[in-house]
Amino acid sequence: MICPVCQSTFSEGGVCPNCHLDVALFQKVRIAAAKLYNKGLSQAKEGDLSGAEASLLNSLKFDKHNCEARNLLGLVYYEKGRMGDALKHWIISNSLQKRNNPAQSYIEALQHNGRMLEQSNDAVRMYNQSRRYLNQGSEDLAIIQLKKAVGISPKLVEAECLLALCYLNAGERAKAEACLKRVLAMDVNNPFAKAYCEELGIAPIKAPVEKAPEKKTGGRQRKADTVRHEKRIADALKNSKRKLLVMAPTEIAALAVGIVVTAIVMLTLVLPALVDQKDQSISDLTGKLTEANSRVTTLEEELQTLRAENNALQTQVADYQTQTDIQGKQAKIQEAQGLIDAGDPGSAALLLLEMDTSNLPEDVAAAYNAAKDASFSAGAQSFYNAGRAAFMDSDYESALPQFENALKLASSEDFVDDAVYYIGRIAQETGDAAKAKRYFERVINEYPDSNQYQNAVNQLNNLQG
Amino acid sequence: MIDFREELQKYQPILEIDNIEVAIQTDEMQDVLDMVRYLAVQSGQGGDGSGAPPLNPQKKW
Repeated sequence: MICPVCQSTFSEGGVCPNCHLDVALFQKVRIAAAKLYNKGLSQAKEGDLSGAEASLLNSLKFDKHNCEARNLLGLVYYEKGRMGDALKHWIISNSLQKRNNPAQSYIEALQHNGRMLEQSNDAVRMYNQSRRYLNQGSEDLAIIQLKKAVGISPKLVEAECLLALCYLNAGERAKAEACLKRVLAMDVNNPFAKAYCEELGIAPIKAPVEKAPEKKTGGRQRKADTVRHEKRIADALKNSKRKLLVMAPTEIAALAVGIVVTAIVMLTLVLPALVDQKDQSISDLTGKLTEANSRVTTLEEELQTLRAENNALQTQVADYQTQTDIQGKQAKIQEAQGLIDAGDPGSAALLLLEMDTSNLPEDVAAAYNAAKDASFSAGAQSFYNAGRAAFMDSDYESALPQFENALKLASSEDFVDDAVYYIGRIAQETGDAAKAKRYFERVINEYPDSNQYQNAVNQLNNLQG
Repeated sequence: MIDFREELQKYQPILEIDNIEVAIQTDEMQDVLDMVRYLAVQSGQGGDGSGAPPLNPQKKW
């Protein structure tokens, strides 16, 4: 025996020889804890999960270091769908006893089955939410949540019981009864279910449970029973884990086969089809390119044709313009002829003088020359006469343009020198001495035989003097 | 006759996995053995005769 206070070992008696502590009380507490554990174990075997939970919790109240009780309590909670509580007690058990503790394997088994853990947790959340809805008076929402919870985690006894209570409150007896049957199938002595069955007036239905033959056994046998029971439940957990381990290689092999088959299908069917598709696209694009090039060639030819037509048309237009121009000139020549016939050769000559006579057809040029011959000399004479008359009247302003026109039209008439002289005189009279001087010098230089020669000299001397 | 509201109060929240750590930390870890050990030490039992307090009264035995 080891003293719980000073840790000294002794073999006889109930008092520690070292610290004189009465260890009998400790023994009694420990025995009580063990008894409660055994009770919980037998209840768990009978399917009375609620009873087992209570007994094991009480056992832990006596001896918190009883890892077997804690492990079994975790298993009971696991069976009731309360993963959080199960994990909590297994974690505590593992921290109290690290060696030879099945709690570690239970924890690992749960961790490997993450999906189930997540689903159970979701169910618990829905249950807790439904409690809040019920406290708020929203019973419909609570029922929805509870139905979801039991759908996800059918082992969640509390959710099933609460759902039964809600149905009872709503007057849906049949649904309540169905819920209670399920509860009692999982937890034969669930106090809530039994109370509700009594309310409904139905006998609680007990699920057939294997009863181990009762025999009085010593502490070692009890421990062996515990170990066997725990091992059975733990094996169930491990099997799920083992199944995962057993399935994994085959799954991997199946995955590898799938990948290979997919690759073969891709290579033989999909890729050639894709290549064909690409080839077809290339062919289509090549065809379109050829067509586009052909169209470009056609358009270029059309452009050439159009350019040629344009040039031809421009030539035609030029011809038409030339013809129009010639016709215009013909008209002017005719007009000039008319003026000549009307006795106004001066105006006719001026009209002909403005005309561009280049590129005239022969007949038109002939008509022009004829008109010119008929009008230029006569017109010059006419202009000279008018200018001289105006000069004599001292109407220099009128006389000047007459003499200038006469000079334009005259070529070798005998009044040319006179006209030059008179222009000089008009300039002199109007005060343009420089112009006068130019014209007088012209007479002197160009017409030395002129009758105006001397007059020009005199006038020039006057200007220079 | 079952009183719905009264019955509802008997249903306690279930521990969610997210709250395990907090639950472990706040869990009442004292058991009857701890109380008996404490009482024994208080009453003077468990000393080494010298009057000095016993070593590590909560150690598992």
